[in-house]
Amino acid sequence: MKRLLGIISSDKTEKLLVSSGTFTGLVDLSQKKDFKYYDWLRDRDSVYTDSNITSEEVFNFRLGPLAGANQECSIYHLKTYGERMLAVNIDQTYKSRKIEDLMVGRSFDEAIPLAESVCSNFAFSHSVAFTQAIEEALGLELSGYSKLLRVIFLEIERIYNHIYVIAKLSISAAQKVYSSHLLYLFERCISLNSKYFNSTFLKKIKKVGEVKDFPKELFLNYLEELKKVVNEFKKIYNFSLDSRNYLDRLHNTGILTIEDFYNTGFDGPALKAMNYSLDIREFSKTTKNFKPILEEEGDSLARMIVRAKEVSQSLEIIEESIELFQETQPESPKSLKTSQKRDSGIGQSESASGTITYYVEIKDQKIEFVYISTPSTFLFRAIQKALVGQIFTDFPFTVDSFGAFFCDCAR
Amino acid sequence: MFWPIYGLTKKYTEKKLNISKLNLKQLYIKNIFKRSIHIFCIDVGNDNALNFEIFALLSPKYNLHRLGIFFTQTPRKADLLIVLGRPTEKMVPLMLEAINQMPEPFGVLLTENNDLGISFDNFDIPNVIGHIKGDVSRDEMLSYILAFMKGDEKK
Repeated sequence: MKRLLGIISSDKTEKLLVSSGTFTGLVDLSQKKDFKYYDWLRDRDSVYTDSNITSEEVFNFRLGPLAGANQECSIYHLKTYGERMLAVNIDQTYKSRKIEDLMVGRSFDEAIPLAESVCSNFAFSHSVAFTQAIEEALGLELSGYSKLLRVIFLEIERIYNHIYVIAKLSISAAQKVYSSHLLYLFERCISLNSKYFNSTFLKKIKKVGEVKDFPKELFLNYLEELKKVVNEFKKIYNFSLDSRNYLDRLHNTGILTIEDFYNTGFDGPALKAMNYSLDIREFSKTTKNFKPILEEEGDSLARMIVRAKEVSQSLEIIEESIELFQETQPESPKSLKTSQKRDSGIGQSESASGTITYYVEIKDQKIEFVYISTPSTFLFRAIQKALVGQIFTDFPFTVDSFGAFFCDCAR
Repeated sequence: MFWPIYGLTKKYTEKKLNISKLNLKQLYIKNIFKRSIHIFCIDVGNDNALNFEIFALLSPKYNLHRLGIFFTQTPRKADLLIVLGRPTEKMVPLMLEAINQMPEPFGVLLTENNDLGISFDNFDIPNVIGHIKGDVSRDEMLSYILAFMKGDEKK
């Protein structure tokens, strides 16, 4: 399985940024025929148009940009005759901040906050992917100590994002008691981030060649508190599985098939819910024994189950990493051979909703070109496909189950 | 007996709770609205941090309904408008129209956590009760909301 992550048009030549799990890199344009979504991805900053159905009975129901149902400013154009959604066009352009353009000409330290500002709830994932691309270009390799810290923070970010998505789903399904518990746990998670790491969204932690260091005992104390949160989550999540009323709303809602993957190229929990995985942690040396959690149904319920199970899995990874971390000593980043130094690099990290990829070209310690490939770009395309044929009632259950964010998509 | 009526006749709460015997400290809150307030939050292009802070405010930890704070989905029913982030170019007219739709009296709370977007200095926004910059936290937002409810001077 391979994905087209982006189309790089620098130096008047066009190349494809492709990932297949073990390989991520630039390939020749001749391979574009392998990807059905090439034309759409080339024009990714325009409105996501699915279909312009026109009929006497069909009208355009516009949701957004300032609608209560949309937390972020964006528009869903729902083509409908009253109940079923026949086609969905998504206008994400209201959120565009042109971050890639703003990064050009900046030093690395100036550009990291911009990478974090693409999507704050994935701030650490973005900073990891960005700095990794810079490190590759500079010929630097992170020390084992920093790599462990990186894994710990990525999993912390995953836990609170998954709880957020499940809380959103429970609110949509009007599960008041369940959602109140989840909201409490979500708030608790981000409060712990502020308390222990001085940043609610884990910003200003990753730098080029290093990860901000914290005392080792602090991680042990943090782990104790996080365990309580995750154990509480597991308990109430298992309770929620007894509620047929809740599960029926998610079951058979927003079903995706492998054909949709070939047409849109999404990944993350949405792909895992279809029994396929392109999780880069599977191929990372730092997370050797990682096995992705897979479900088969491909619907909102399967996506929710994948996320819930990943919360426990992330806790296990954090526990293992903190144990290893206690025995590891801080080191400086290793410099690779001069011959390995390049003026461009590719960095990746696995966020809670999928893989984030940065392609960066540098010159004189400044950014010359940057291309950001975010999971939400592809997920909104998948949401478009998943919504077609659904009734209005299923709109929040479908959209919220993907964990896609407009700021991540529009950059 | 029909069970809902049976339930009503029991009056469990009233029997157990004798309010006159409780020594509750009565707090006087000078509320300009003399009632609870309704807030309309708009995202005009923030990086999701502020959306998440508002979402976390809904946690039972804060128990906003107890304080008389409710979120509404339209500016026409709101007492306070919270603008989340600096606006993107396309969101400027929408933000100004949302302010225009607010019924008198009303307040506007501006928040921004980075330099992306158009600065609020470029607009003549009426009734600004506060302008939070930097690492905006939900506690800080709540303190502005409570100050607004009490009718305190803007900070």
